Amino acid sequence: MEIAKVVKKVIATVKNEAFEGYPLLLVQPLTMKFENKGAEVLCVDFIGADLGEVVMIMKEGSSVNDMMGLAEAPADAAIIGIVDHIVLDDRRIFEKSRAEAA
Amino acid sequence: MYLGRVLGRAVCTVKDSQLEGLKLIIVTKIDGNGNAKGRPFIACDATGAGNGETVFLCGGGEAAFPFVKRRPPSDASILGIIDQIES
Repeated sequence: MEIAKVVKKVIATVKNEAFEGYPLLLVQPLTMKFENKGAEVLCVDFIGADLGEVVMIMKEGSSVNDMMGLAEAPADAAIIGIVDHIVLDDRRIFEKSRAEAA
Repeated sequence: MYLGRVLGRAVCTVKDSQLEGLKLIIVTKIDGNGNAKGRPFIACDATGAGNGETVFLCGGGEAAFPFVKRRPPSDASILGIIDQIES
């Protein structure tokens, strides 16, 4: 898994039926220094994340299928958590409440 | 998954039998602001997307899943047509 920032909400009416009822969010993966890492990823949102939030994403198709309860959903990335804080090398490098205040 | 924009179509007469009847679409990856990224490629279409439309795609093994009762040898498939991107 990795951390990412929610950058866009994506609305699609015509889509594969496996995606019915799940929001789609475009996220920008981040390094632990909060720099952009690689290309944006479109994720199925199981959690209810909002624009600008730092989230935990998983990029593994079979695990997304398990979460959807489908054997063969054509999805390979999902938001599985909203990050409250991150401690790295005994230092608190991210605090959600502070990020929101800023 | 990722975002893309439809650029055109590819037509193959001689192809794997599992690809029979599928539309092959030329698509380019785009970012959330609509800017093209990287080189165009071919994707199987599971939605009926038309030229210029913004779509979302899935790569890898899951790209074969949208097609009922067949397993096309596909590494990218169009899964949905995007109405709106909000920021």
